[in-house]
Parts: sequence; structure tokens; C-alpha cells
Amino acid sequence: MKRVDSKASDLLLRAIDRIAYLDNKTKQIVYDELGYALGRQGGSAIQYWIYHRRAPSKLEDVENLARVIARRNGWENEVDLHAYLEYAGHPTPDHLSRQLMGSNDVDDERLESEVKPQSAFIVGPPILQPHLFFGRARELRYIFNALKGQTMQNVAIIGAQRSGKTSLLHYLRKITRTTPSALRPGQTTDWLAQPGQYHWLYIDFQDPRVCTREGFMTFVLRALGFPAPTSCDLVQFVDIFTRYLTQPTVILLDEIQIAFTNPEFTQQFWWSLRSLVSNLTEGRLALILAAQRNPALLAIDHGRPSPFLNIFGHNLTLGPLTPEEAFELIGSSPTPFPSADVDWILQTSGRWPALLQILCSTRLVALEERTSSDAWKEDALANIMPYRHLLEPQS
Amino acid sequence: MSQTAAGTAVSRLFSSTPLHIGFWLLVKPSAWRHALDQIDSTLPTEFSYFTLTSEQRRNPVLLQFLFKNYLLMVLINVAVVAIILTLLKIPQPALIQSLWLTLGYSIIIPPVMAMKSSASSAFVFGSAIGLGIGLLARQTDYMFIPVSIAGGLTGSVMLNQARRTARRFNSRELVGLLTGILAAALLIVIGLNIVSGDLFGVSTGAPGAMPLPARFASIITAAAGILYMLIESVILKVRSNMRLIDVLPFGALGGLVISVSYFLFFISIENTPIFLISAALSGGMLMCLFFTATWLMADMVGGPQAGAMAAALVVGVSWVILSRYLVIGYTYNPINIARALMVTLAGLTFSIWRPIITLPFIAIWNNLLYTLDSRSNASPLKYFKMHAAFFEEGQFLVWPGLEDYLLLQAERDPVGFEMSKLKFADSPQRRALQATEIELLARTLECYEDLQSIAGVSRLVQWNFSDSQISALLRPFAQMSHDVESALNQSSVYQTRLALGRVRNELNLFQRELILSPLARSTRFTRVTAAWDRIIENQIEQLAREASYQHEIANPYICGMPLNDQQEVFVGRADIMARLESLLLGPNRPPLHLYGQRRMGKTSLLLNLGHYLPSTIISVFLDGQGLAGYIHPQDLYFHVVNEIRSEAQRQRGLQLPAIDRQENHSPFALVSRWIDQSEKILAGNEAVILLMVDEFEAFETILQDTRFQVEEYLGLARFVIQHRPNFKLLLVGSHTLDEISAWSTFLFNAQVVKMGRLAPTETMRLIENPVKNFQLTYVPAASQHILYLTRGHPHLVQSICYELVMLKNEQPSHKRYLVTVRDVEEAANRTLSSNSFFFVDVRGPQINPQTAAMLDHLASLGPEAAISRDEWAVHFPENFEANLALSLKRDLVEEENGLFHFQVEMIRRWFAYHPF
Repeated sequence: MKRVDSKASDLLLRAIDRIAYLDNKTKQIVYDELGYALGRQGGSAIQYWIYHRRAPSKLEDVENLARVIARRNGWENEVDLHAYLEYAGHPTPDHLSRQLMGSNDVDDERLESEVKPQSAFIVGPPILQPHLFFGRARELRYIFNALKGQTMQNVAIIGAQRSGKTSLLHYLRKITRTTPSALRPGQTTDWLAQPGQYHWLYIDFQDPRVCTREGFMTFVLRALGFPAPTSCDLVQFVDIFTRYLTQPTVILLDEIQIAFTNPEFTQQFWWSLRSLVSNLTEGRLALILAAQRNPALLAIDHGRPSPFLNIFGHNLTLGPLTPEEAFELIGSSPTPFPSADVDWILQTSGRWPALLQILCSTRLVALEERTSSDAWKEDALANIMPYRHLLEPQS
Repeated sequence: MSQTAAGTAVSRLFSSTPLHIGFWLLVKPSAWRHALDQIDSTLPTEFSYFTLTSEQRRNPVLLQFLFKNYLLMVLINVAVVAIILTLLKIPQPALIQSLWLTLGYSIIIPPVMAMKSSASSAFVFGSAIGLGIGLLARQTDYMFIPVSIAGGLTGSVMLNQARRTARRFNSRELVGLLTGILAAALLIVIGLNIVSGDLFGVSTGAPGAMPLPARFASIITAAAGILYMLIESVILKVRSNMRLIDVLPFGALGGLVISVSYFLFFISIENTPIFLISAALSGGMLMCLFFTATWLMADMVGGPQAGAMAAALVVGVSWVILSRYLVIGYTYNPINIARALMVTLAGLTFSIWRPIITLPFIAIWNNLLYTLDSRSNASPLKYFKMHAAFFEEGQFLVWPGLEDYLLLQAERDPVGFEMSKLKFADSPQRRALQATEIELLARTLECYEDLQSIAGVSRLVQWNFSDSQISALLRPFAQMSHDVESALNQSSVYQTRLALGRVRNELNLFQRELILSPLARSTRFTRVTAAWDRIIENQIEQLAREASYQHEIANPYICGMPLNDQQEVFVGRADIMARLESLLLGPNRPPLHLYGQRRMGKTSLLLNLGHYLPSTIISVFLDGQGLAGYIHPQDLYFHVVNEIRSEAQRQRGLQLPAIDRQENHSPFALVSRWIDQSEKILAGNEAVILLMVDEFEAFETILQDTRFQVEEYLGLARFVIQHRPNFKLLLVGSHTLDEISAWSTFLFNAQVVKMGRLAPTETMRLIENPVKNFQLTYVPAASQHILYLTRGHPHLVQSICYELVMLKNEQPSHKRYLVTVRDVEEAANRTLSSNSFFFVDVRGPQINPQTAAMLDHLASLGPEAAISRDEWAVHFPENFEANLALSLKRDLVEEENGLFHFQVEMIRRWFAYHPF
């Protein structure tokens, strides 16, 4: 594609608007910040490119600008970044845009900008779209409060299988950067003062890519856009992390119990991770882990990561939703349920979100099929049978 | 009833007269189109009889329309000429002669033009010629003027129609224009040769001077008729796409008419009715022929614009020449060609200069209408429909005051305004409409009175304008509206206030941009920004007032993470720091061992120690757990050396030597030499390196690794501590020496400093004044209760206080700032849950199950309960002494007056509660 300065400038302005929106800053401040990030004295060069509808003449500036904006989540998607690079005359826009925003990079951190149509209730997979997530207001408040300060604090989330840990982790990483138009009315997004500054990385220890120590370290470094040597040892990992971590970064570790029982993750590994979080990154790195059982007990059982867990000053145990939250979830049905059914669902589910989703989904299907009998209740009870453990007294 | 029907018939009769048609064609072309649509919407705007389909031709309404207006036009022409000449007191014979000519031309031109060219040109051309020649019949030398006017006006009408679809005039059209003129010139030459008799060797001479003998006249007129028939047939064939044979009868009829009329013209006596009528018929037909042939030729080559211009120019100018053969008493003057050209051009450009000349007069009219409408309260507006914008379609300038008139209509009659928008959207008056829309938009934006309305603007108002300038002007408003919306969606008053503050900054910047902007419209929007600014400012002030009552308390407490020197919340420990300092300052001091239970704040102390110690001491922090990942000994040693060099440079600007890893020496030798070199530099600068190794027990794995030559290095370390007074070592851990046997030989003479809980005063400070301007106030019993629960355990104080702030923030503002004992109890309960890792660690790996069972028993006795050694031993006789010693070592229980009790109530509660 031919170099088209004006189009490149338009895309740049759009990206700056987006950063300003995400970070709640004026455009002037964003100009200056980007200018400084490019090694200049301020934002005058950026303003020049915007006002005169020009693209940077130096390839180095084009690349650096693309990189800095990608880090600030300014590009709405890879297509925009690619178009910017093309219009600005970059010789290899495919490669760079893939590198900066491709599937191996921080694609998990994309902003949700539009509501995608999806069925009202989610049965089975974790909830990935913030507008479909309900409840957990207290937990969210608690977790984000731990992430707000100059020194971020670590939080452990404990909950039985199907209690909603994974959905909560995904919600955490997305909600602060989701535009209001992609949410339900009244959903809070301003948990953090400058959400655009935060990098979020979700790691599921069930993922085969992270089930070895080296795999884990390479995955983390790549996902955060840090240099990742072909063969990475602990010292290199800590060294690279310490050197390149400049912005608040939250790593969400799901199914941590798998890692605790995995001999690949040695005592030295957990010590290094603890050292990284508590002493080497000046409070810019926080871990939020999720486990089915209290990890401290797991540590006792396996005798390894006890000192690592000392850095978790807060732990939350996920229980059922509050009655108000459960009502809100049930009330999200496109077809309202009769009040008797609502009461039955509340009672039967024990207000556990996974059970609420199953029961509501079953009821909704019956309503849509105009089934008038109570046969749906039998189906619903059968559907929640595998998760009855949630309703048993917690040990 | 019959009267009504008659009235309707009269009304219909006079709803479209030739006067109307002339006005439509020259001033308001859309009305002509509208009139045709009323008859048959499939009719082309420029249609001739031969271009219509057979169905269209048979349409009685169309035929009635055309025939009625044809007759009316003839009558009107005759009447107008009669009236004017009578008023001018022209003698009756001359008047009658003029009327015969008017009648002749008016009769012949419209049907001929309507068949070959178009109905619209038939009306204009027929009217102009009929009237003009009738009025100037006595001024034979200027007879060309009405022809030039007619040609020009007809060309102008055709040009207007052509411009609706055609591009601007280009080279192709120029070629077409020249082609048409040349073809017409050829036709004129041939025609002149015939009518002058030159082709037949007979000179007809000046018309009327000597009537030709019938023999010659019949030859000439027959030839003229045949030529006319041929040309006419070709024209009709081209226009209609019919076969030549089918149109030949019409051509023949034309040829016959011109032949007969010309013949009569030759042989009849001057100024007799036959003479005059035949002159008019033949002249009119010739004009139509020239016009149509030229137009068609130029149109085929260069398009409709070229056709219209060529036809107008040819007809307008050629009559100066042709008059020599057709007009009695005509004196040919070549200068008249230039005059004719000028008049024709004036006619052709009629639609350009007419609106300019009439503008001032019509503007007065428009203003009069506006005044009348603005003074009355009528809705919809009474006079607006008479505004020139509705009828003067040729006006390419924006009517002065139309913007105000449209605004008046928008206010009084929104539905009518929507119609006006449709009407003017594609006219030159669009600019007035645009200005009106901008003004309305500005008024819309200006009229909002609260933030909710401003927030809704982004959804309610259409912001995407194709005009980039307008878009640029409006986009910031959309953005700010969106920002206001997101500010209102913030969950806390504080965040809302911050977000509104940012919007206000944006607004002020934008206002400045508007003032500096060269765009004329931009200044209008400064009033909008000023109005928004007032609203936002008021809201910010209101929120500020509310915030003083409602805002959340910032949580300064930190759990689990060490407190570095940037955090105010690190309190106390002055006694330990003073002790460490005194131990460090003396020469040849043994290594220091800082020992304390987990979560007692040892790392935080190290991170803050640098600020407390004199500047001569360069503190180097090393995390034993972070270093435990080293596999190769030399990497670890060089890392430590580099850390020391880096801190020496940072804290004192000292440049210590580097270790060259390439040198062919053992790492031990290199490190040893480096220490010697550095010692000299440090001594010369009165500097001391304090190596602080946190979690030094993590080196246990290294000590067990033979590759690290531990004994050798520990020996070196001992030597350094003893003989290199500028190197000091502080080892920090949570184990006593007897628990770390591997280090015992190295640390046998270590100076142990125990780090316990905070002193009560330090604890109270951490509770009540952790940071400046802390907003929580405690009732005395509440803070004392925290002290009782934690007994100064720093981690537990931080944890309970953290939960307390979270709890208070959940409470309404009137309860939020005062902490009661009840609040502390609630926070303590939450802490047991949210700090389970800490408690599990205390009750788990640090003690054995027998000790845990002993402590569970003690805990179950209740708060502040104590138990004697004997009583306790009765319950737990197995390894009792050892287990009791372990409980005491871990600072879990203490002895007081021969009785044992828990040191910390929170820990007792966990043992009593122990959920796992």
C-alpha cells in the first residue's frame, strides 16, 4: 500500500484518543507522555504529526510510536496498527503488527469495545465477556483495592470447583479496560485510576505450554513483550523481568495447585518468584492466584512453596453470590421468569453462580419452547447434579 | 355545485398558461418538471413529439395541455402586440401588419419546434419570436434582435436543462459547438443560393422589390421545399429513431408548407395578409430548421450543452444575413452581426445575470416577508412560501437573511422546516440551511442545564458530518459528552470529581482552540463551551462539598509485601536500628544475625535501614531466595560483586573495580583479589559496605552443592569480616542458629539481634496515625483492642487495620470515620479468614502436630486463659518439655507467674478456630 500521511495521522489521533480515554488523561498529557517515551523533550512532535496530518519521516519513529502505543493499548485492534504502519510507509507492517499485537503477545489484554451477541446464560465454560459476569462486588472491591497503591499487593482466591474463580480472573483483567458501551448499565469500570497503565497476564497451569518451568518463563516473557531467550534459566528470567518491567503488571495464576504438585516448579522457582514480587520489582508486579483448596495447606502437604505464599497478605474464599447479585443474574434473562420460578432457582442453586446459570438456562429454554409444566425442574436438577458439591457444607 | 365545477375548470385552465410556462422554464425549472409529472411522470423534461412513445403521444391530458397553451400563446402574443402598439399609437395599417406577422410566427413556430426540438423550446422560441417580430415589424433593420433574443433565451433554457446532467464545458463540447456552427453555415450557404435564385441563374433581388414571375418562383420554392423536406426528414429520423420512410411524409409536409408559403411570398403583393402570413410561415420554419439542425448536429458531436449554445448562436446571428432575402426594406449592416452576437450571448447567459440584477429587489421582497412573519405569531409561517428561495431556482448566491428565516421556521414550524431542508438540500441555498443547522445544533448544545443532559448529547446528536471542518468542530463536543457520561458512571464521588475536572480541562483547551480557529463558525460555539463550563464547574463544586462527607478512606496498610523506604506506613524499630548501628560502627565486628519470626517485618527493616544509618555505610540488599536460583558458583559471586559495585556507585559515587571474568584465574582468586582492591578504595573514602542477606537460610541448598566450594568461601567470608573492616555482613532470617547447623561454624560468634513485636507506642502510631492526615478516628477502647488482639505483631496490626479500612468504607458516611470496638472485632474476624496463609503457616510447618494439639487445648480455654506446666503436661505428656520449648521459641506462648498463655490473642483465636 502507498504511504498516505493523512490516514496514518488519523489513526494516530484515534489511538491517542483511546489512550486518553483509557487513562482518563487529557490528550495533551498523552502527547507529552508519548513524546517522552520516544526520547523527545515533550509531545510537540506528536502534535505536529497530528495537526499537520503527517506521519513520522523516520522509520525509527514510526516503529517506536507503534510500539509505545501498543504498550499503552492505544490500538483498537491489529488491523488499525497494521494500517498505521502501512500508511506510515513501514516496509514490513505484517511482521511488526503481529509482533506487537499478534496472538502470542498481550492479545488477552484487548479492550472489549462492543457487546457481542451471546446467549443469556453461560453453562459450562468460564465467562469471558464482562457484560455477562454478575456479582462478586465485594471481592472485586477487595482485589482492586490491593492493586491500587504504589506497592501492589498479592491476593489469593480460593474456591471450590465451579465456584467461579476463572471467570473472576478473566473479569479482573478485562473490566477496567472495557468501554461502557460493552457493559450492562451500572457496571463499574473505574476500579483503577489509570487502567491503561496496567498489564494483565492470565496463566492457566492446565495449559501445556506452562507446565514446565522453562515453558512458564518463556511464556511469561513473551506475553509481556520482553525478550525471551531460546533457553531460559531462573536467573535469566529474574534478570530480564527486573530489567524490563516498567509498568504495573498483574499475573493471574489459575489452578495454582497443579503447579504446586508439579516437580518442575522447584523450591528455587518459588523463591525466585517471591523475590521478584517482593524485592526486585518495587511493587510493580502483583500475583493473583486461584486455587480450589487453601494453598497454604497444599504447601504443608507438599512441603515446598510455603515462603512463597507469605507474600499473599490477602486471601478470599469464594462463596455464593449475595441475594441481590443472584437476583440481578436471574433478572438478566431476555424472558422474565415467573416469581415462583425465581424463588425456586434461588433456593435450589444456593446462589452459586454456576448453578444459577444452569438453572436459568434450563428455565429459559423451557420458556422459549413454551413448555408449561414443571418438567424443566427435573431437567434442571439433573443438570446441576455434577456440581452438587457446591451445596454441601464447606470443609 | 355547477358554479364550483365551473370555478374548478377555470382554475385548472389558468393553472398553467404560457406565462406560467415561460416563468417555469426561465426561473423555476422544477415547476416545469412538476407540471409534466402531473401529466405523466414518464415524460422527459426535454421532449419533442417524435421522441415520445406512442402511448405518451396519445395521452389526452398532454395533448390538451399542449394544445391549450399553444392556442393561449397565440392569443396572448397577438393581444400583447396589439395592446403595446396601440399604446404606442402606431397607425392602424402598420398595427394590422404587425399582428399578421405575430399571428403567422406564433402559429408556425410552436408546432414545428415541438415536433423537431422540444416542447419547452417551442414555448420560449415561439413566444419570443411572435412578440418580438410583431413589435419590431416596422423596424426592419432591427428585426434580427427578437430572433437573437429568442435564440439566446431558448438556448439558455436548454442549457439549464442540460446542466442538470452534463459536466462542465470541455473540449469535446467545444468541438461539437464548432461542428454545429459549421454545419449551419453550410446549410445557410446552400439555402441562400436557392432563395437568392443564384443556383438557377435567376436573381430574385431584394424581397418585395419586384415580385418574381411564377415560373421562376415555383422553381426556387420547389427546390427550397425539397431541400427542406430532406433536411427535415433526416432531423426527424435522428430525433425519433424511426425509419426514414416513416418520417418522410412529415418532412414532405414541411417541405410543402415552406414551398407554398415561399411561393406565395414571392408572388403576392407586399404587405397584403397573404404576403405577411406567408413571410411569417416561411421565415418561422426556416428559423426552426436552422435552430434544430444546428442543435442536433452539435448535440450529437458535443452533447446537449454544445447543442444549445450552437443553436442559439446560429439562429441569433444568421438572421442578420438571412434578412437580406426575407425582410422587405432591410438594409444589411455587418456590424449588426456583432450586435446580434451580443444579444444572443445576453440571452444565453440570462440565467446567470438575471439573478444578480434582481437580487437587491428580491432581497427587499424577502425581507418584507420576514418582517411580516416575524411580527405575527402564525405557525406555520404565513409568508415564507413566497420567499424567492422557493421560486428563484437560478439564484446561485445565498439569499441574504434566509438563515434567519429558516431559524424562524425551525422554531415555529419544525415540520415545515424539515420540508425546507429537503427542498434546499441540493440547492445553492444549502449554505444557508447548513448555517441554520449549525446554529440549531449550537442552540441544542447550549440549552442543556445539567450534566445528565450533556452526557446524553453524544447519543442524541448526529455528529458525523461529511464536512471535515464541521466534524472537527463538533467531534470534541461528542468526546466531552462521552467523557461526562463516563464521569457520571464512576462508582465514587471522588472519581467523578476527578473525571469532571479532566473534562473541564479539555473544555478550556477546546475553548481556546475555538477562539484561535480561523473558522467563522467556531466563535459561535464558544458560547456553548462557556455554558458547559458553568455547568461542570457547578457540579464539581457540589461534588467537592459532597466529597468532604462521602469520600472513601484511602487504605495505607500493606499486607504481605515488605515496606520500602517510600512507604510512610513503616513505623518504629528505632531501637533495633540504633542497636544495629552501634554494632556495625566498631571495627572487626563479627557478622550480625538479625533473627525474628516470620512476618515480623525484617525485610521492611532492611529496606529502611539505609536511611537510618550514616552515609558512610553503603547498604547492599541481597535476597537469599532470589540468589538460590544460581547454578554456577561464579555467576553467583560475580552477581554479588556487581550488586556491591552498583550500590557503591549509586549511594556514594564510588567506582569499585570490576572483575574480569576472562582472566584465567579461579573465581575464588578473582573474588579474593577484588576484595583486597575494594577494601583500599573503601578505606580511602571512609566507606563501609554492609552486605544485608535476607532469607539467608535459602543458601542451604547452595551449601549442600559441592560445586560452590562452600567451605572455601565461608573461610574467605570469615577472613573478610575479621580483617577487612570496611566490609560488614548482616544475615537475616527466621531461624535460630541451632536450626541452621550448616552455618554454625561460620556464625558461632555472630552477634544475634532479635526482632520482636512493635512497642505499644509504635503499635498505636501504626493504628491511629499510619500516614499524615489519616481520616479514621478511634474511640480509645478500639485502638487498645487492636493492641490487645495483636500485641504489636506488625503483620497482624497491618492486616486488621487493612480490613478495618475496607469495613469502614462499606459503611455510610456518617459512621465511616469513627472506629468502635465492634468494628475492630468485625475486622479481626475478617482477618482470620483473609490471612489464613499466615495462620496456617504458624500452626503448620513451624511446629509439630503434638505442639499444635497442646496449643489447641490452651486456646480452647478462652481468651487470656493460662495453664500451669503440670496441668498442661497431664493432658500432653508425650515430649511435653520439647514441645513446650518449641512453643516458646516460636513466640507463641509465654510464661507469666508460672502459668503459660498465648502471647497474641489473634493467634490464640486461630488455634481455637483452626478451620483446617
